[in-house]
Amino acid sequence: MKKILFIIVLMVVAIGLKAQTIHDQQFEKANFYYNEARYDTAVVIYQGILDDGYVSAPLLYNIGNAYFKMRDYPMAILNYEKALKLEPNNEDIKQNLAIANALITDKIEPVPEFFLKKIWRNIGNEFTADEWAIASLVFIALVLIVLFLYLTARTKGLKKGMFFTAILLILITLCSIIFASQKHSYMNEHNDAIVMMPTITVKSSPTSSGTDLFVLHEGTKVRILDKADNWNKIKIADGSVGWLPSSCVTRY
Amino acid sequence: MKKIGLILLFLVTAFSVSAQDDVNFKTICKKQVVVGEQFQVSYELTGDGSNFEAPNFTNFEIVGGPFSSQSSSVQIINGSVTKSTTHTYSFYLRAIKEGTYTIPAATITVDKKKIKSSTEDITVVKDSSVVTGSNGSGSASKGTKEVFLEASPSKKTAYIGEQILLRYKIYYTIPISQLSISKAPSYSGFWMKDVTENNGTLQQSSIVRNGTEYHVATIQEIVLIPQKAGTLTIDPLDISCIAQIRNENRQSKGYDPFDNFFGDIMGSSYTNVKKDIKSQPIDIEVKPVPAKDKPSSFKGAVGQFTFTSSIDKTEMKSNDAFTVIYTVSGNGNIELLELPKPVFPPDFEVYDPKITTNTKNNSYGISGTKKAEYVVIPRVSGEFTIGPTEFSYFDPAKNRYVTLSSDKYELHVERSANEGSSGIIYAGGQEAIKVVGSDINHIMLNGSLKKESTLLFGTPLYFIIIILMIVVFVAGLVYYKKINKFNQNQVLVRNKKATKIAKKRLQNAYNYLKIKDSSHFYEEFSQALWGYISDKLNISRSQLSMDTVKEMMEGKNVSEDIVNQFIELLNSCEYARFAPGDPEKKMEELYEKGVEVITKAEKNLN
Repeated sequence: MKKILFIIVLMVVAIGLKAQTIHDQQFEKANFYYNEARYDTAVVIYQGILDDGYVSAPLLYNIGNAYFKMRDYPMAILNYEKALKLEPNNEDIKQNLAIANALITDKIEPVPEFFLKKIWRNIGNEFTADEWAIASLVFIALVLIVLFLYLTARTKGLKKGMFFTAILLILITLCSIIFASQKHSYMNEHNDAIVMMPTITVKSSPTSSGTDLFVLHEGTKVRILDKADNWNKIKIADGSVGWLPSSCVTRY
Repeated sequence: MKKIGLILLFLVTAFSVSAQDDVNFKTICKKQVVVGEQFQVSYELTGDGSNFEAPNFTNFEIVGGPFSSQSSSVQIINGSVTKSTTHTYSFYLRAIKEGTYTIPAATITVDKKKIKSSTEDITVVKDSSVVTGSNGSGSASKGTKEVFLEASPSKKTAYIGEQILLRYKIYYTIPISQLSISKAPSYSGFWMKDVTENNGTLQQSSIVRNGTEYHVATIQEIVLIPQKAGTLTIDPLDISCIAQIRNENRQSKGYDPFDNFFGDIMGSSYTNVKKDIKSQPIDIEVKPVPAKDKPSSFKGAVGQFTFTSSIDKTEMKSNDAFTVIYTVSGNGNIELLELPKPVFPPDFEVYDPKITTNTKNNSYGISGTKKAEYVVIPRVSGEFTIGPTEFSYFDPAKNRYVTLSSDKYELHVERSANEGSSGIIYAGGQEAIKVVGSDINHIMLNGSLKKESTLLFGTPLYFIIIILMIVVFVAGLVYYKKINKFNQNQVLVRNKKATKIAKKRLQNAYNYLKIKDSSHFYEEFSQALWGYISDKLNISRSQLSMDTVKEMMEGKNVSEDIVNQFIELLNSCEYARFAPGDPEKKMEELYEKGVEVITKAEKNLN
């Protein structure tokens, strides 16, 4: 019985490893084509890896680079943003995204962010959603241990120490749960989008007869606030809000 | 021309009564020409014809032709329409020698029929002063010594690049007018420049040659600069003029009253004669410049020159333009010479020089200046030297090379604020790294690919883990509580039993007191006390001592009075066993005290 289980485990691991190596080989092949300046081929291979259900920030980043080299800046920005979603603090991705954003038509001055919010966001970006989830579990475990110690403490000093430790740990745990939750919802919401149409007029209402508010060009990042039929209510970095046909943007 | 012809034809046809339908092919030419004279022969066809065949003009030289022209006219007379066309084929011939010749007939095809033109006789006469027309032009030469042309070069031998002044002078004893050059030589092998001082009139002077007084006028002055070595021949210059010749033999030609009349008034009678005169061909010996002692800076300048240079400033800031001018001036092939190229320090931006040439002509030939103006921008600061530039020329008069040097300039270039903006890296100072281009960061080479999976947070697994942890926590707590409770129950039991056991032991002690068994009494009594306190305070018997008892009792908030009494009792219990005196009385006393203290402690220790 034990032997059979061991063999099964071994087989699963072997298949997993094999699949990993095939895709890694594909990845290296695509890198080779990229270095040979055959960007279109590279994109096709990278995309094949994505289609097989494998994903990573470097993969999306490399796709973005290939599109950038082909001067398809909207697609490059889309893939950089996707990569940045997975690794929010990666400097390479940030830099290339900034370069790509400098090459598109629209230049939008973002609304300045409140510094505490920025600090909060930066701490949140330190870890991925799963890391935060695991961290929250670890902290919950720690809180329970400390709570147990508090409850079972015989002496007054020990009880006192455990009490304050527990309070601190509970606060940290709550934060980690909030981070995990925020990250989780951010990863799953897909409410950011990139404008893919060369030029599009933002309307005041979700109808084509609505008043023209402003014009956006390809590559601009928008945040989707609401949906109505085939229209999206969007907000751009400077805070302007309007409606766009949902076919004009690609969510990520 | 055609128009005039048309009108003429119209007039001719208007007066002519003859039928225009007739085909008429005739030859038109002069009856008499002079040897060397050009004349025209025309074949005129009235009507339509084709395939004109020219005859062979023997004894004549064809100068030009055939030239064909066509004219047509339409006339309406009394309703009848007449159309006429005239074709003319012309030749320009020159008579070669005297005699009587026949202009041969030409043939043409009219209505598939070949017809011949008429033939004409022509007489070619020798040069004669007799010309047609009173002011007509003719060609005659009577006494070549009356008018002649002389070409005189300033030298017969020259070096390549040395200039030769060639003068054409006309000598004449009779009045001449309407001088014109009919054919200029090609001057092959020479660079030439016409330096004739042309102010409308000829400067005349007189000279006696071969006993005859001639008037002399320079008609053309040319500067020639040989371009290749060897014997170069200057072809003759052809000029034509009208000479006025006094008519001394007019009697022989018959009396002309008009001529006589005007001749008498003017004192004498003149005839205008057209004269063609030629200069003699000249051979020029051209030598190459000597190879011996030829300086490296020699670039073909021949003559007498000076070489100077000037600079507008020697103190400047970097990126501040300055101008250096190199000037060659003198007498020689100034227009052909090549200016020396100065050498500027590296990191100097030098623009193509602006070269200006200024020449004037004098009796020696061409002289003037040639200037090269260099605009230079020093891009970096420092001390620089523009070295002397050498210029060499060959002096044919002294038959040697001369090398001249320009000034040497020391430049002091000060640093300016925008130095280095041109992209030149200067070794002397430190410069910031120049961004030559920007590109995106390179692709990441490590894929760290992961199977796409749902996130842990919010999944059942996440909650199961939390619930499991809470379950473990609660279970642990419950277990602990259970153990704790059990232990506490044990204490409670001991606590509850403590008084009972103590009373029982005291009862035993009392029994021993009655039978006066002191050793058993004390044993039971101390057992009662120690056992009571051990059970009450939940301390094992082995850990018990006076100090721990005191400590524990104080910790349990037992009053100090009772603690002291208890400790005193324990001490007296140990002490009294061996103390002298009435043992019965002591035992009774101790027993009563023990009951009292335990009762007191019982109240306090719960």
